[in-house]
Amino acid sequence: MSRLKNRLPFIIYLLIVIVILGFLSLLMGPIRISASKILFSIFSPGEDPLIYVIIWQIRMPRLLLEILSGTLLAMSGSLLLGISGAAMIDNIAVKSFYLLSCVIAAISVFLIVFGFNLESLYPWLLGSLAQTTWDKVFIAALFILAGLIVYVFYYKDLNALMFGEYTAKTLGVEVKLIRMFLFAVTIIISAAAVYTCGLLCLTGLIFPYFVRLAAGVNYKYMIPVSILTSASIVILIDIFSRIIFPTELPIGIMMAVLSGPFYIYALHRRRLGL
Amino acid sequence: MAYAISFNRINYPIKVKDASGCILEQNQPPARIITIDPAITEILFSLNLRDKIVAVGEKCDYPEDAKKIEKVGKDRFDLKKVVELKPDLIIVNLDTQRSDMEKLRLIMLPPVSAEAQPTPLQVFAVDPHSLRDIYNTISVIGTITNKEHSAYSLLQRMKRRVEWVEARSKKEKRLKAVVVIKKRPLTVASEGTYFHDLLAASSLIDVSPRGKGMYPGMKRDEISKADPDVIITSTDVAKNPKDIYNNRDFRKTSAGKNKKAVSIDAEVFLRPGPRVVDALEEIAAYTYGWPASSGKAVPTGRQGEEN
Amino acid sequence: MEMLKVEALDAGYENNVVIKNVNFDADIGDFIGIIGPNGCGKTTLLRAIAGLINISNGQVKLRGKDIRRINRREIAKRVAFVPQMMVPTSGFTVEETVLLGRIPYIGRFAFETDKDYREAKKAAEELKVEQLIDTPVTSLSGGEFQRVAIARALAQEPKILLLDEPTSHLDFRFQVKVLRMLRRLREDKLIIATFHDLNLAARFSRKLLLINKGEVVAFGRPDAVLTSDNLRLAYKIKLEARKNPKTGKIRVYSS
Repeated sequence: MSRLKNRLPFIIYLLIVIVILGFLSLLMGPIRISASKILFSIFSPGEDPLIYVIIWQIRMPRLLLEILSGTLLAMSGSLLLGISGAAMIDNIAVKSFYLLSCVIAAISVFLIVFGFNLESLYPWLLGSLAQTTWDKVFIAALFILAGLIVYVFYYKDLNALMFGEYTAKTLGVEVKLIRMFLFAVTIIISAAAVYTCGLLCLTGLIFPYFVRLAAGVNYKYMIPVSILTSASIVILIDIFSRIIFPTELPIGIMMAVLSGPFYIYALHRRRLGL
Repeated sequence: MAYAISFNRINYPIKVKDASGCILEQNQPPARIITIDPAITEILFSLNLRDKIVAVGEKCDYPEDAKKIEKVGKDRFDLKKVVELKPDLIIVNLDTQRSDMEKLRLIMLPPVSAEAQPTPLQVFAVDPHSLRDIYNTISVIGTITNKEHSAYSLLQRMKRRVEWVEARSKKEKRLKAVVVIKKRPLTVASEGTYFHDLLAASSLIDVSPRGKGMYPGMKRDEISKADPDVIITSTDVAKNPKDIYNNRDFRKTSAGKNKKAVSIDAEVFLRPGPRVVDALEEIAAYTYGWPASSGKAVPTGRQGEEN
Repeated sequence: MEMLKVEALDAGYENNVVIKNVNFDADIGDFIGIIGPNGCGKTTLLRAIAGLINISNGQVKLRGKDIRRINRREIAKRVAFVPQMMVPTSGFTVEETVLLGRIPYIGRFAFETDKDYREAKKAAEELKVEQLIDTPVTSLSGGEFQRVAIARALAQEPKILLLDEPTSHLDFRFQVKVLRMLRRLREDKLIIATFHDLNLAARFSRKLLLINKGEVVAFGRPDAVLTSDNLRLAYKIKLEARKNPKTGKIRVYSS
């Protein structure tokens, strides 16, 4: 298909972005490790046991979890888009959730600045990438696999839905059932996303909404593009917050804060009738 | 941020059946609304749709701002002008604008460019007769203009005021009343109209003839037999209540003898819109001698001389 | 047994019944034009026949079988519906859009085959959009996209083709071309289309169904349906239909 030829450069570009961001992520941390040593450790792991532990037991799982979180968010965000279309933003539940996330994020920042210890809250609510284990990575990967399988078998239905309820129905798609099924899948994948990066991370579900503006809603391409974009965003947010804040700021807070403008812009578009 | 969280939810695309049995389909809220019915105009203004109205009728004089909007007809639509304005929604009154409605439904708006194609005019008909119809009309207009929450609030306020009148008037002595719609031939309002509902809400007994339709005629002997205690009419029929209670048909009734009649401003009374509640309050206040009541500053009608 | 039989049909949206007591039948080779004022039943009737909306009463039968008893995928192989105003969806090419029409033939766990690509190509050629095959649909004109939508429906290899206002978005030169093409297709299909333009409807339809306020005013050959009385009843303005003695075709004029 010649269409793939058009898309390929974009996808390759995104892959490059991820590799660069990933590398930057590996560079960051309390112990300084030079770039060359990192590369060395990746290609011949056994050499330096200390560096090995840092890279492979701490930073790499963290990076992988970031990628996986982004992937999970992208998958459930795209599914949500497929089920509800552009109207995804209008849902009162979505609006309330964002509002609540902003409030929680604001309060948390306040508390952290004043030295309160929120350690126990971190994982569930705000998400923590600090103590990542390979177990977590493994579980996340399982959910992603399940999600990908759903996509491979349902992308046709999703594409049909994009053309409108009546077109989908006349093509033989059982719209009601498919929507319910995909909604259930969305919930499961979102739960996995919460597991990996906390409740507030669900604010990241909005990113595929914007990916569709750039790449269109053809699910054949939207999935890889969404995944790569969301994963990049998560890594970026993490790098960003590690640079700015000396103490570990939970990823959920940054996600809620940074997705705010996107959300407002999306609402603005809806007002205009898009 | 407030505008983002507003509760006027967008739930498009919508399909709503109107009073004529036809379906309005819209993919987004209307941005260019036209109506020549004064009551509908008042409803639109009450729902904060001022900036979406592109044209009204010459009779649309309330609120003040409505007078400044472009006019496209008085009792009939100026079809040419309407098409020129390219509205995306026209709201008509089924009763008074039926033939125009049919014509509007045939018109396809001319294409905006060589590429674009003609689109049909979206026409929505309402047909409010009773008070409940008025509530439903406000509600459905809220739905088709994406102001469901505003419509709901407006209705809550209206209903509260109606309930207030109901509660207070229940304690008063039961009186008989009739609403005069036209002097010659003498026509009154009966069951099925909001006039009848307003009488009921003020605990007044409607003595109009039943089973003869919504606006039956009444003969002098029927009036004498019914013997209303209060006559309610509009400034269209009688600028001064004297003109009605001194009228030959009414002179010998209790209302005539006690000079008890009230003439309410036609622009408030005769429009099936939000201001019917103002009329209701005026009717009740006049009938029972209450002080100028709940919220409304100045009664807009003229009241009979106290006996 | 006729291809399509509509019996005492009531249908609408949510809790509203929009069309009431619609009765008619049609067979392969027919071209039926549905006419009537905007918003008053034409589109709703078409959607009901396509099985896209709730039927509250009555039946729609395909070769004697109630469509409520046939599963959607099977219906999709026999009945194809083209909506009135489709907004081109970003991210799809003409080919990908026409290929959507093959969905009923591709299994849940399968993908497009060569046959599917061939059928899609055939449909695109029928509608003269095959040279646009790789263009994104968002860069097409309204008329081109409408033709792509019809091609999508043709790719479903339907026996019944339902089109909602197929001419209202077509470039003028294509209005007649497409209607001619549809008329050619009716050899082995049943075609039902709604029309805003009475003259186009009269010219191309074998039979007309005049509907207003959700009820059928008349159904039959154009000269029987397009009487002044019927038109006045439905359109409430004075229209007159005259038969051209030479061609036998009816034209509608306002009088």
